[in-house]
Amino acid sequence: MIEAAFAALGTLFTPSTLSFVLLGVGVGLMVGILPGLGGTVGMSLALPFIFGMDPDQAIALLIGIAAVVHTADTFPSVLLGVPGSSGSQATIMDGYPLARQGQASRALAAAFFASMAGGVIGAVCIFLVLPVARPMVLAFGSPELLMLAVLGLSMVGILSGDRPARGMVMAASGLLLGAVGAAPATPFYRFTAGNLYLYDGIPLAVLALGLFALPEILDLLAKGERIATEGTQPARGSVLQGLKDVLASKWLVVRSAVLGVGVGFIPGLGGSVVDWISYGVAARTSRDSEGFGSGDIRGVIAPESSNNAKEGGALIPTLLFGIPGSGATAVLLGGFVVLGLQPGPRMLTDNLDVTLLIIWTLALANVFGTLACLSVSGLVARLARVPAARLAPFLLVIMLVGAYQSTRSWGDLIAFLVIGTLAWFLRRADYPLPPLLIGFVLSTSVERNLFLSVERYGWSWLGHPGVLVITAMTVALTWGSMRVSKRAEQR
Amino acid sequence: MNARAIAVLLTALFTAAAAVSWTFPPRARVYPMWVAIVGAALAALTWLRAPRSETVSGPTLSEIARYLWWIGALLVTTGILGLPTASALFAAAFLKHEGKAGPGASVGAAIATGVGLLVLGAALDLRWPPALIDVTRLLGLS
Amino acid sequence: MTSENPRARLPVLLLAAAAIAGCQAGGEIDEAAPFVGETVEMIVPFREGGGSDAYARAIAPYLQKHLGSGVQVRVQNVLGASGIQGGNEFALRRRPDGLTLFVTSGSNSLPYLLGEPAVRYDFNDFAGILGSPAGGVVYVSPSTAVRDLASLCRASDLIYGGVSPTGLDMVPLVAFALLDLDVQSILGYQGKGAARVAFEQGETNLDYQTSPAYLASVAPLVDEGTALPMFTFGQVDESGEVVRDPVFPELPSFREAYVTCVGREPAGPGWDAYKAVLVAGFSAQKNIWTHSDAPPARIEALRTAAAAAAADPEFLSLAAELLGGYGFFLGPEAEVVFRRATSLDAASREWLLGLLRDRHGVSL
Repeated sequence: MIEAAFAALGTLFTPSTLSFVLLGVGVGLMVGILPGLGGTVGMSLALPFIFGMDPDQAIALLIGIAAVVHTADTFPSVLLGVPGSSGSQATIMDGYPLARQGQASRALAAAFFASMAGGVIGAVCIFLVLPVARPMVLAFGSPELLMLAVLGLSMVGILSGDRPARGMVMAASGLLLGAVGAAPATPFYRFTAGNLYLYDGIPLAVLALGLFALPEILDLLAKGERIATEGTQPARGSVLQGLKDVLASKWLVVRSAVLGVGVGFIPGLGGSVVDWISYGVAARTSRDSEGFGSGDIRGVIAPESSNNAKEGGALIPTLLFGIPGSGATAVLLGGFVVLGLQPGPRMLTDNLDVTLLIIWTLALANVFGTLACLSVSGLVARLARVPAARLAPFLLVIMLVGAYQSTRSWGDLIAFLVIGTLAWFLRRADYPLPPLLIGFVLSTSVERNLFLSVERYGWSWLGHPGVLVITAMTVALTWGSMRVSKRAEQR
Repeated sequence: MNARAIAVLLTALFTAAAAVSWTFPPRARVYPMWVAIVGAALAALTWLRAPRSETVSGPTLSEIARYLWWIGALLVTTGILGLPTASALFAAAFLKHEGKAGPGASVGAAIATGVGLLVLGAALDLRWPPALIDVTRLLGLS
Repeated sequence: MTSENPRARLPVLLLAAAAIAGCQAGGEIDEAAPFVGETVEMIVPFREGGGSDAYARAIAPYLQKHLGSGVQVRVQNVLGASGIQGGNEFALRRRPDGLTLFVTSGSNSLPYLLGEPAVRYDFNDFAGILGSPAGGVVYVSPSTAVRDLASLCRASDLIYGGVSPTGLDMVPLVAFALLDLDVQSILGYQGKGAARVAFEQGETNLDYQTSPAYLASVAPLVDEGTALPMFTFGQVDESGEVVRDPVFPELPSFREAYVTCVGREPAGPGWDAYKAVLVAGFSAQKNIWTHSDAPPARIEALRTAAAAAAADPEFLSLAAELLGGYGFFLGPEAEVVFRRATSLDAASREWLLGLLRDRHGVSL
């Protein structure tokens, strides 16, 4: 396998293939930086062009895009508090407070270094687990997937701050919103009032933009502020500081990256929760964690390390089983078919060279993406110093454009405005919004896997070893966080 | 709008959702109904626990209402003239009235927004919402 | 007041634009070259990267090539309501000028067949341009008592994993009902890929995959002995008979499986229902349509171009990867095959709805 790996590296380092990696990185950065657009849009963009392309070059292009979207999407998350794509949602928790404290450059630098490290670690991880990946994926049946979704839901506690009851109400709202539209396994459309827009449910990008972006912009405008309220002059050496932050939390980076690969790797859980889980675990297991949520740099490093690693993990079920682990890998799958590559067990035998090329491209694209982002971060960070009234019209337009690309119907724009307005009221009443998003993202997983487990196993699945292990992890994490918050109260 | 009012509203919404779920066929009913029932109970709990008067610092509805009107106007204009044109007009008008920008800057912003969106749209193959009189499409620009 | 200028100029621009648009519209169609200077849009009712999208994008350049120079063929993805929205948009909002094509799959024809209320399109208003069939193979795990077809019919430990009782799974579900198999059907998996993983995990032990997925992911399992192929759904030919799948000529078709299990030739409303869902779901898996009231010269030109594309060796090799190596139904032929499905008689319809109601709790 080592020999094959070097052969694949040789393929990658030909000028034509490298130039396609660079092209892919360019496209990925562009769609990543625009709120609401993500890897799915970027890859869809490339798809028409890969008909008739050389497979190596086409793969370099597609993977180049997928690899760096979660590097670039940090810009809006940190600078504007707007999730750049579904992978950077948790970054807003601490990244945006840092930007408001005038430390945008530092937060961005830390995020980019963490992204790069995470991406490279992700690539190494999938290389290492490749031989045993199939049995590992097969270890997760419906009951195990259900318990993983519950583990994700348990993160609601830490993300609710000092309002646990309200956090749970919001999580329940998210679970209910996730049930809008087609019910699994039966041709029935719930809570649609006959509106075809709602048949496929509310698009995640519209919900995320509405929940976080619109209320923030409205408040900034009403207060007549700029995003950075302190430190109106760029701090010197902030990029270096970001690098130091990442080095100081190197174990956090490794841990979060491995977590990211793990979650991405499990089919059907939905890559959109990985950053929240990673954030929640970091907040629960770090020392002196009281600063999380108000500008702790580790709250940026953890989700950023894992969301790039996730794309690597998500490739495993995509390549070996033909089931997408994230939105972007779903499009990648379409690209494979066009190239005449059928994902399946043969990706480890006949097509091993392709698999290895993908892994190398992933690692290299992460490095390129980070360098590109770092080189412009100082310039882009100045956006935080522009008064809201001068920034807002452009942001609003970009967000409408982003929201509209979800299903390309007027419903997207209306849903964005309605959700945003409601979210403003919730925020004003001190209801935490991240739990709503988590509930929404996990809703389908919970319902689907609960039904499958009960229909298949009755209630005996509760005794499955995998279920017991994940339950124990959930309990330990919840208990740990309760202890942490109690200690914080006593202080 | 305080936490209490929100809690009352959420309790009502969850209860309504539970009632609506009751009419669904069995397989589609169980999950949303139980989520709604648990949600209603939790919302009622926050209702009971919410302090009678709670002040969260931040702008009031009357302070943000103006901006909601702006966004509403942008959407309406988009429906009439198409998104690129509406956005250009919106950027200019907003900068002039809210951003206290000079006329030159406003026109510049309008041009930058319109051209920027068209370039972006062409590069990323983005689609614009259908409009009554889609100006850029009629001009063959998108 | 320079800032008012864009708005002041706007009416002028609008007038100019309207004038330009007016000049373009209303021209007569040139019978010899009915598409010159036009853009043909193919509506795909699913997101980029799906099977329908890949098929449309694969064929678009070949349609363009064979429609002659000066014609552009573009793919447009109209999303929503699991494929229904795209059909509604095509039927209700697009002009019948032959410049809009609609790429359908089982997700469009099965809800239509069942009378889903959201469906506002009628295949009787469409003219067939090109049809391409697909097939499916039913296989079982050797962990069951099943060794061959005969033992499949007697087995009592079968667990089938599917997605939805009214999607493509309807075909195997109807097949299992006709064979009177003792099978527990667990529906609700996220897709056929997830259902296949469940099969590999042992969560289920009976499954089917469409031909390309079977060749890529199940054939290796058959080689290593962890999956046993049982039968194919078969293909409905021009005369309405169910015949062996040309991609798997060594496997019995469902008709043969029925004869083996039941001991006589299949007939009756259940059998007609099977053929209808088979055509809607598989034999007419990917169809390209335009409006039937489009200018006849354009329909003819589209059919000719599609036939030429379907014979283009470059496209054929691409299509073999995408569709699993089936042939094509050309123009009217595609329509004939398809119409047979949609003319489900009352008894078969009742049989089908009864099956969904009694065994799967679905009332339509």
